[in-house]
Amino acid sequence: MPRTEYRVARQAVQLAGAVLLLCLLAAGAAALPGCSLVQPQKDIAVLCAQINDRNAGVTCVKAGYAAVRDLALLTEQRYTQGRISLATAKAALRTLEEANRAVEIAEVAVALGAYSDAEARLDAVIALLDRLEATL
Amino acid sequence: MSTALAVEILSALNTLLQFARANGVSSRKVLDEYLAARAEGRELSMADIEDLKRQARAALDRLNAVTSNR
Repeated sequence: MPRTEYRVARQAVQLAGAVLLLCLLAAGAAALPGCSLVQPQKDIAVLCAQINDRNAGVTCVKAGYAAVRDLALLTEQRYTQGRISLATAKAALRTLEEANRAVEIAEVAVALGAYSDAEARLDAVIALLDRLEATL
Repeated sequence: MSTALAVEILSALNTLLQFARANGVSSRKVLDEYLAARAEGRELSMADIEDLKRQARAALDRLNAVTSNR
């Protein structure tokens, strides 16, 4: 594919990502078509931005492990379908391992009642997974 | 717009939607468990995390196995 077309394709993908991000961030955007897909993630993000008790902490750690699992499965699927290269799949695996370690640390923080530490770790997990999702 | 470009765009969009759908279901389930515990005044325990933790580890090990075989 010519370089210009790659650039257009990349821009289209970035636009789609921006739309999903808008669904996650903008108040009231959940009513937009397609936004219902990401409403649960938005609710989780709100909950995990301010962890006040054990239940919220446990829930956010569970959401972190679920995101790692879902992205690992998606990466495997994309690789076995030949849609991403071996190098990309291996890089994704390294990022996912890093994210998983951060969730494990957040889990320990929740167990100790250190909820602000858990929030910080989970923020890092979200940043890692967002970056990874854009490469798949 | 060439066919290759259209395929590229659709493929990438499909990836975003696949993850949004799969993780949306996971997130909904986790959130429902949180809301149920809150409604019942029940405290979630660290043991409630174990199943998802195991699933995440298994998915990572599987991805490692698939990418190491090549």
